[in-house]
Amino acid sequence: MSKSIVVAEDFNVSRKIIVSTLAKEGYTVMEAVDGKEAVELFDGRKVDLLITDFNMPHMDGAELIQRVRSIKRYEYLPILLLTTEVREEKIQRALDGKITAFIKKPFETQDFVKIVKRALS
Amino acid sequence: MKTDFQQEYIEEAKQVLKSLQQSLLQLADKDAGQEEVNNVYRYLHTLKGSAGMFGFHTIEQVSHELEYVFSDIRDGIRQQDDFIIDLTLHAADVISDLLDGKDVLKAANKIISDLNAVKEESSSTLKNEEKQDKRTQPFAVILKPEKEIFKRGINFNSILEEILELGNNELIIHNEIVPFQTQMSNKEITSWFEIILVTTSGIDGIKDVLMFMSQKEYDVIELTPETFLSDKYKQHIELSGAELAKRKAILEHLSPAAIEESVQEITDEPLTNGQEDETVIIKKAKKNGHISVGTQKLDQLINIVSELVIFRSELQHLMGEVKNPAIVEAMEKLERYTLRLRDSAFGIRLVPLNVVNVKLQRLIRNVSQELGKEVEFITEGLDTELDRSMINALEAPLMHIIRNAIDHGIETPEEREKNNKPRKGLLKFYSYNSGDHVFIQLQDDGRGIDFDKIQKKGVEKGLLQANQKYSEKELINLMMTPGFSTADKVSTVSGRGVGMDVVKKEIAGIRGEIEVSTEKGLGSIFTLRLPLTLTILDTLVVNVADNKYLIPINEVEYCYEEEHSVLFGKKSRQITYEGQLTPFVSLREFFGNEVTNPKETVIVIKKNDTRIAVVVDGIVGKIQTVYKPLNELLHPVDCFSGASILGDGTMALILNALRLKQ
Repeated sequence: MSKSIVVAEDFNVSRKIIVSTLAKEGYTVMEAVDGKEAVELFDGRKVDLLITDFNMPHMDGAELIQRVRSIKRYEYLPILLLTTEVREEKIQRALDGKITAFIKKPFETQDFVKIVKRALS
Repeated sequence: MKTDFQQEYIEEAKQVLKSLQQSLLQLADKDAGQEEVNNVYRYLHTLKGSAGMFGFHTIEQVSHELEYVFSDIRDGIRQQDDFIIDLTLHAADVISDLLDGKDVLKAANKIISDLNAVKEESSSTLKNEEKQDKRTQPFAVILKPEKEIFKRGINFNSILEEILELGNNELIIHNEIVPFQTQMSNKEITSWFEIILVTTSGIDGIKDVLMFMSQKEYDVIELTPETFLSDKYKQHIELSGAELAKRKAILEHLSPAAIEESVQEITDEPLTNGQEDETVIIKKAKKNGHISVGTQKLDQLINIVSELVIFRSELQHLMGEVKNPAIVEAMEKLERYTLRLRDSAFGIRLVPLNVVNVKLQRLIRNVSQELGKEVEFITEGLDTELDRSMINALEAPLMHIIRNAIDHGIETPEEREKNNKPRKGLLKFYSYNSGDHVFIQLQDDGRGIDFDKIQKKGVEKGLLQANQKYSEKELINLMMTPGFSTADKVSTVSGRGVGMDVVKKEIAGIRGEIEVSTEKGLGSIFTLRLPLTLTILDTLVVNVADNKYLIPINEVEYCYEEEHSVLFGKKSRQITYEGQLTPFVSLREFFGNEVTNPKETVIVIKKNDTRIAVVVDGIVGKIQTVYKPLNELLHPVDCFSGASILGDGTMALILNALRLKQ
């Protein structure tokens, strides 16, 4: 079974890039434009990794992560957070100890794939 | 005539060959790293070592040449490539034939000359630069994960394992107040870890694995014997004289020069356990002791234990309503120990599925090469254990399913690219325990089952009506009917007429079930559901007109009592259960007894997603029984799947309820 990844990102272009990059690697990718949509994707599915943006309409990354973590089977789910440099410190404080790693935007595809692979290993 | 010693060598050599193939396949599959090369080298060395002694000179020669090539690979003088792996795999086959006394001298000589050609070619192209890169180097890796590292979605266990896989190592666990395994299962780390690692991966390779750990959670230190006293080391641990000496010894033991010898000795010598209380040293390559026992002896043990289980329930039956507390207590003890004895006796027969892995991988390699397809084989849960006899019985059906998946399921690389799929097809083998069953799933990401094709073929063969619509379930069933095969051309791979029907029959033979789900363009999943052991069965005992019958308890969904008139008042033999009409069979009727009970007991049975109810006189109780297969002559009577002896010494038949309907 290929690993399933949920990608939550409101900015269409970067989401498409991420999705196509991951699909090329053979992962099953489900995309969401905000936290609310992403939470629904977790319903009744097996998800192996969450990649989420921090700033999104309706439900932001912090709340999404909190919701997902509160589901028993996703207590230990690897989570990668996409951020821009400026915000990192503030976000780091908010999410310290809850996520697996930050990915700075913009990123090199190669590095990104490497991080995803490691998170899924 | 083979001497006893020769016979022993043959058995041992076959074991080594098996491990050798496994390592080779791992090498072929991905860059498995230095350790696997070392393994291959060691296996070849073992083969060679004793072959000469027992007069197998050709084997000695072949393995000697191979050993030479692999020692070059190990030392970085030569790169491994597919040709060498294939050649070595082929050599393993030839050696196996030689052991069986087959005349394959020609093939053996061909291998030797091929190997000589390989050797010559390499002596001219020494790769010095690469040797530099791949130099082995000792490191100390200090891991101090925060307590709740798992909450970040980081599987620390696998990080630790990956670090250890980078090379030869010693793991020292500090502050192990809570046992390491408990920490892992509680997902709360309270220890910290010191790993002495000799690896070719370099500092970057190590840091790569630690990517998700924060700066303050780890430290990687290049090692020399002096480093242990440096400030860098001291900030983690101040070593006393004895501890320092031990680390120096470890370092020396692990360093490249020492590896060769350490690989040879398979001793279990415990490390001198100084005065430390807090540190525990786990020797990584530790081997658990093994003795091999003939299967006959094992079967005998199982039989005796089975009889003992029956005898115990017989004894309990005879005692009836004894009130003497001492006796009751003694009986309870007897029960406890019999059950424990039974569990461990049956446990001996359990073998991890891993044993078939090599065969499957080779099959996949061969078949995909033959058909020009690219297949990635992923396995999960190979440590799942199954009864030995069951694993033997499983081999053929598994191979058949895999063959089919590669032949019919997975497309050619070109076709896959056209359909936006990765060139390499994915074949996944997944196995797990659930309740008293073992599940094996084989999943491919190929084109899925072509139902139109099956329907067309079914019509051609006169098995289906041309203008009727059939459900997918019906078509899958048809696919498993004898003599049905959809391959356009008869290839050597599949489509030889014997097909899925044989698989189904063989799986049913070990009381297993097979289920298929498929999606067009996305692939198919074959799920095998197998009982944990073949011989012990929890059953519900029911009686019907003075006879007792057994129903496997895992099939029973619900039991209740009902007035005779309510059940039999209607025209159709059906009850309503959970809002669904479910057919029922009265066993009194079925066995030709008069139907007279005023009150009946209804047992709802669910198996293979199909429900059926049986009506019996009453429930006697629940017992654990030893399953005995029925005599061949009784096979046409398939409403019984087997027989068993009850506590009072009488025999009872085990119902196969789904068959009552027909």
